[in-house]
Amino acid sequence: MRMSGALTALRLVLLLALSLIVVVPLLFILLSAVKDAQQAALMRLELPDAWHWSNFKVVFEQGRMLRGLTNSAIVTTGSVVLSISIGVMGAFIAARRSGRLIAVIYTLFLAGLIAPPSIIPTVKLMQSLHLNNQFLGVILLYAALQTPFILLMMTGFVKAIPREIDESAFVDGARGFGLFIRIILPLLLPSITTATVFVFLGVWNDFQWPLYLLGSSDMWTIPMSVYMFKSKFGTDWNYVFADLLIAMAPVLLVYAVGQRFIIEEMTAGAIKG
Amino acid sequence: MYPLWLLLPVLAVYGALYIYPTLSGFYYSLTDWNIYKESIRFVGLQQYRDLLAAGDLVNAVRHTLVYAAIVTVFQNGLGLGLALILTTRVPGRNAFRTVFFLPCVLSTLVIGYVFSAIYRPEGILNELLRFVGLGFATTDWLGNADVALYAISVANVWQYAGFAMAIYIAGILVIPKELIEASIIDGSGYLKLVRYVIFPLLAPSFTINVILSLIGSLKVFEIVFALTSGGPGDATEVVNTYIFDRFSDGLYAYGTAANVCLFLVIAVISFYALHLLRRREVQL
Amino acid sequence: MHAKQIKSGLTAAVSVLMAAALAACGGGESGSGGSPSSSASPSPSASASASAKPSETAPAAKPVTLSVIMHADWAKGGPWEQIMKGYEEKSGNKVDLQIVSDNFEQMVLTKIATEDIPDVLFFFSQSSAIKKAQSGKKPRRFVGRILHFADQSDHFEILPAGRRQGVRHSDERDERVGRPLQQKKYLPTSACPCPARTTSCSQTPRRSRPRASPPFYEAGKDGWPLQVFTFSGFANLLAKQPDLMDKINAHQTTFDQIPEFVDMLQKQADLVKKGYANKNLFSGTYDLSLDELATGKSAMVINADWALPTLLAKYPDAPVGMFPQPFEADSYVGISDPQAAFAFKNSKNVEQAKDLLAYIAEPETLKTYYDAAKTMPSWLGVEAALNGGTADLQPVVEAGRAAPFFNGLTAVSVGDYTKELQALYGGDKTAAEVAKALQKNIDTAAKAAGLAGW
Repeated sequence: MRMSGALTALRLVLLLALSLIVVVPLLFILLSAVKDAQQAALMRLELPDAWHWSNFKVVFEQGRMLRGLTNSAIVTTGSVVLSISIGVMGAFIAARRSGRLIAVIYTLFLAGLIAPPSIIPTVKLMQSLHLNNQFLGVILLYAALQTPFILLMMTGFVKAIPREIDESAFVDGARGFGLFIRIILPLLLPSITTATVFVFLGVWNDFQWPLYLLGSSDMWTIPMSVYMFKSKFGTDWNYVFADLLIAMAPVLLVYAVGQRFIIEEMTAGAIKG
Repeated sequence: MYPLWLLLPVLAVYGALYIYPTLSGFYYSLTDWNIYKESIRFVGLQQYRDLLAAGDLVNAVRHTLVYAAIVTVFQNGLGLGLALILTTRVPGRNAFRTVFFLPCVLSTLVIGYVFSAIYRPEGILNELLRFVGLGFATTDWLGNADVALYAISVANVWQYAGFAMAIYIAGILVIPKELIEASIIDGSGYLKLVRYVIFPLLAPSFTINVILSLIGSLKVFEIVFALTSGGPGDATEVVNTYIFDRFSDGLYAYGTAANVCLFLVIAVISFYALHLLRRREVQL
Repeated sequence: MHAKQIKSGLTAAVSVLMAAALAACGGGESGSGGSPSSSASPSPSASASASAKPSETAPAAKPVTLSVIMHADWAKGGPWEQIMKGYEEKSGNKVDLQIVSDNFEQMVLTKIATEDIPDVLFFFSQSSAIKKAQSGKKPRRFVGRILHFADQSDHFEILPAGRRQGVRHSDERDERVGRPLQQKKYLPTSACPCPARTTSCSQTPRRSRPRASPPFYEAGKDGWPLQVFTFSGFANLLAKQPDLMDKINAHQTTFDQIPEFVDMLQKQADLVKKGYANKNLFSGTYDLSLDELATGKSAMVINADWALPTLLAKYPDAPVGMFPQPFEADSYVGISDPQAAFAFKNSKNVEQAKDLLAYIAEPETLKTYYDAAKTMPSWLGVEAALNGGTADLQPVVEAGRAAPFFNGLTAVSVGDYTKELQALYGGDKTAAEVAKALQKNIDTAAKAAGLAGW
């Protein structure tokens, strides 16, 4: 991968320009979050007249964000662990086997990406299973809703692993679950990390299902904290943006950690198989 | 070697909590369920006939297709480009990866607020245009019926190009190093490496990305709702905002029928696309 | 889209509600039949005594947690946390106040459809909204019986909605009079003194039009405020033709056959065409309209008085007043159906829920509410210090010159009226076509509902 200095510089300039496009709107959120209500309402990209860092404190307390963060952590962690473990395991089989049955199953999962979940029947079902009003129900539901994405994505990555690896492991006596855990899973870690980030994201940001399934606001997740500051009309934008920033911080953290993990895997050469 | 029971847990959870309620939801499209009714009756395909007869979906379908085409092309083009650059040795590439991925961390709520501010007549975009001497190009981006749909699709690409990028990067990273090293030792240039080594092996990621963006943009709802709610007038009405309207009107059976139709159309398109892409994967 | 219409329209009701919430409660328990004065006056005391009993017994019983669902707009406008705390202290029960904004209506309808009901619900009281909330027997297998609101006859336990129960409003106005709101708001700048009302719609703008700043600001993107012009106009029409709404609901006439209505729409379109409104009105939002008004960038906003507390919270010194939108010599004020609080018959804690509602209706609680919300009380015997703009309207409403928004009177939902008005402003539809589209929405829903006459 030899690149001339000029080319590198060009790429760098391009990347910087594109990052600017990404960063400016984010900067806008950040700046808006520390303005006072009047200035935030103007929606301009400008420095605050006065820096109201206390907005974060106000939001954190009034929005009961500690409670929301805790609940979100429980729900999201549960959903991610469950959906990734069953999803990746399923993807392994779906990728390695073939035949009509697998094709049907695969199609069934793909359809799940397309069809919108039906809210009322779902809530009714959760009630009849006595899974409503508890985190377990929400976790199971999120896991179900996330599996199509995981299956579709991970099947592709499993296929990218040469079958010869399985075969040599088979000769060494690994099969089934053992083969999956000891041989395949380590190879998939970088892509699992990616999938994890996406699942985490989808679950963390959702504010629909907790509304329908959790009848006590003590169990509500973090996105719903914004309701304290956002109404249809007459919104305190400074608080809204401060709230949103706090709510998205954990996701950023997960991505930052996840990404470093991917890189380390790469340099450690684990990916060579 | 590959026992089927490993598939059972995921099938059980998915089947019980997704497939079952969704299918039973579909059943209502065969009834006359609406919010005003005291009881529900089975009416066969009546709702579907009404849907076709009403014909007011045409506009929404056209908007949806345009939107999906734009989003799919640009999201993948940009995502792939970024992934290629960011898997070479560029100073600060980890920082760049993080930056480009940032937008898809945001909830659609945030995108709605931020881009409303950007697109306002006296908003950030127009100020920028004036600043660089393109004052004539300024407009009311979300209020101008001619450009609003494109403005929304740009916001969508802004949000999810990083998503596509991340999948492409993951795809590039699983390419065995030997292949890349072999190619380098081979002395072939970077472009050749991309063309003959990376692209073919990236095919699965490409398939996933295209399918995901296709499906996502065909069933687009939240971002349109957050930015224009389908307006002004019906300039940005897409199929899902149309369906949402029907549900809000309390016409549940009718809305469900429209939902089933949308599902079928997207399914046909995506399965066909998937078929093509998979075949391509094999060929490459 | 309808979502928007519902959301904003209902929210409007909401906000009004918020303002109107308690405002509307004048009718008390005496039902829709009574004359306003007789029904209204005893209610605070009646409620108080009614509440006394459950309040005494409540502490003895095992304390429960009452779930209360409320829209964020209402929550922001009222001192609800304080009121709920007061109830907790008094009763020993706990209140879980659940505040929702974006998915509010869907959440509520879903909860009702799945019988996963809260103990107390703050909801819209428009007849079509209530019909939705009550509609029963949806999907046979998944959704059970109809839920009844706690009261036997009229669905309301307390905080009755204006048009059902009759809200107080001084004189012999019919029982529909719910509560004031909505008209032009304007900024009395030095150039423009504060008229109580003007004589014609187009005069004021011309008079106060400074260069480059619009006489009135339209929030075309949020869209809800676009409706106010004709809501208000229709209120005036109803004053002259009281049976008009009954005819519409019996399908004996249609919106597109009412020339006055089409004229109103035409006038609204003309105002924009002639340049009286802000340019780029399709990106105008409700929030921005208040900022524009408060900072003097726009002279007027067509809106309801529930916007005032929001505006004044951000701009405490803004010199804002209100006047009825001028259609006639003595224009009527359009009013929205007020917010209502409901207890559910089949809630586990129905007695405690009633107890909470009774507590809200106690004179002292009402006082707390109105002192904070600064809206015209519709309970007799409750006084509130009003914001300037609302105070401007009070005499008009007290004189009985008030009539409801038509979207609260139609038998079924009017659909996405906002979208049609956007099309009118955009030149995609003529006034007559908008009236037709509005009627078509009603026809569709009425047919689906199987109403007589369709």
